[in-house]
Amino acid sequence: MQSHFGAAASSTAKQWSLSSTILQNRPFFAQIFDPQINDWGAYQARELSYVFDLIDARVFAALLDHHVLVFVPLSGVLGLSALSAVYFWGARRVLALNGVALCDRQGFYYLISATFVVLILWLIAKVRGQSAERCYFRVIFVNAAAIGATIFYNRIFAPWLIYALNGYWPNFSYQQLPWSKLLDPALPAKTWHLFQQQVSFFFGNAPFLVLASIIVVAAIGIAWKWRRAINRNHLTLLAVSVVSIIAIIGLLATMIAPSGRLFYPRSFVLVLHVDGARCDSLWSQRVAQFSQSARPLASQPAHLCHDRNSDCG
Amino acid sequence: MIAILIAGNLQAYVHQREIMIHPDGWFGGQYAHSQALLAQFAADPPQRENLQSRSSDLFLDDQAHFLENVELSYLHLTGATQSHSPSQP
Repeated sequence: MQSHFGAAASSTAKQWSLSSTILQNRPFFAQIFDPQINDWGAYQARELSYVFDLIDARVFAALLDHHVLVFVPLSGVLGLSALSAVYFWGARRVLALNGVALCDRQGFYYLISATFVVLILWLIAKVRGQSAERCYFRVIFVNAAAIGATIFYNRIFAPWLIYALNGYWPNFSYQQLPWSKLLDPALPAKTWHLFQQQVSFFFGNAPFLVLASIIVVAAIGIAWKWRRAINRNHLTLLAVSVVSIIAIIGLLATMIAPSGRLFYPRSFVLVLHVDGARCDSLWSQRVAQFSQSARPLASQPAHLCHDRNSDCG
Repeated sequence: MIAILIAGNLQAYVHQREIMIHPDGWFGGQYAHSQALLAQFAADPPQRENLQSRSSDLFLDDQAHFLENVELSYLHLTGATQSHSPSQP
């Protein structure tokens, strides 16, 4: 568990003492805008998720103080409950895409995808001269503003805050995806395999081939039965569905491409946000990061310095 | 329909869990880590009283002391214990 203060701390006992004073009363925003500790230096502009991590870690510590050991984070419980509520109440009423972009980069992708879908609907409405054109335009305008705000936050505002609060500029390398990795010939097969697994999982682990057969047969049957009632609205719905599926496949491809490997598709489906290269407990790491931030540096990792009175630089 | 889907996932739960916690699996390392923490908690849970009465807050920051470290950090955070000056033993 390496602290970014390690280099300074291990140089001299004097510097250690100075850093200890800084960390004893570390401000909330300095903790949050610190990707060097919170994400091992992989800046992703997802400070909102760090807030949840911090709350989770403190709840974990408070429970431990009461002799209760629970590995399920509070945000996981609340998030799952909220997801269930969204599912039952209807995504249309309560889903707000603008906030998810601050939780992870996938959220930004969803935001762009949703905007693209609405853009298609707007173009179709415009061609057909429908009155709903203005409504679509408003949604596109709001989403475009959200995209602009997210880019501004990612590239300018958050880096500036990180520098102002913690004295360093974040590393953007984690956000870069070389085109060569997207052009990997094996990527489409891996992506399709993962897509199958994902669909299967969300449909009670039914085999993908069975699911696909049912959907195709049902679609053909419905289309044949109501063939005279099919209108442009139905075709538009079909087009939007196809675009949405392509968007999901595209997201999966961009998630597989960086590593180029797909170890366990089913597990990958369940934990899309976990980087397989890190074999240690992500949750434990989060708690450890909180610990490093909250405790005085006098009790920082022993591998930096075993004896506080020695100069272990 | 939803009940069928839930039943399908429940039926596959054991299989999925085995995939995830397999030593070579996605969460193999995490599972081993969690089991080690459980054993540590059962054998020697962190005691607030012991940590508060300690003369030094320097400790080994490894897996074997993970829970103890979290407890000590929490005590620092809540002000239940005072940090010691680095210049003092």
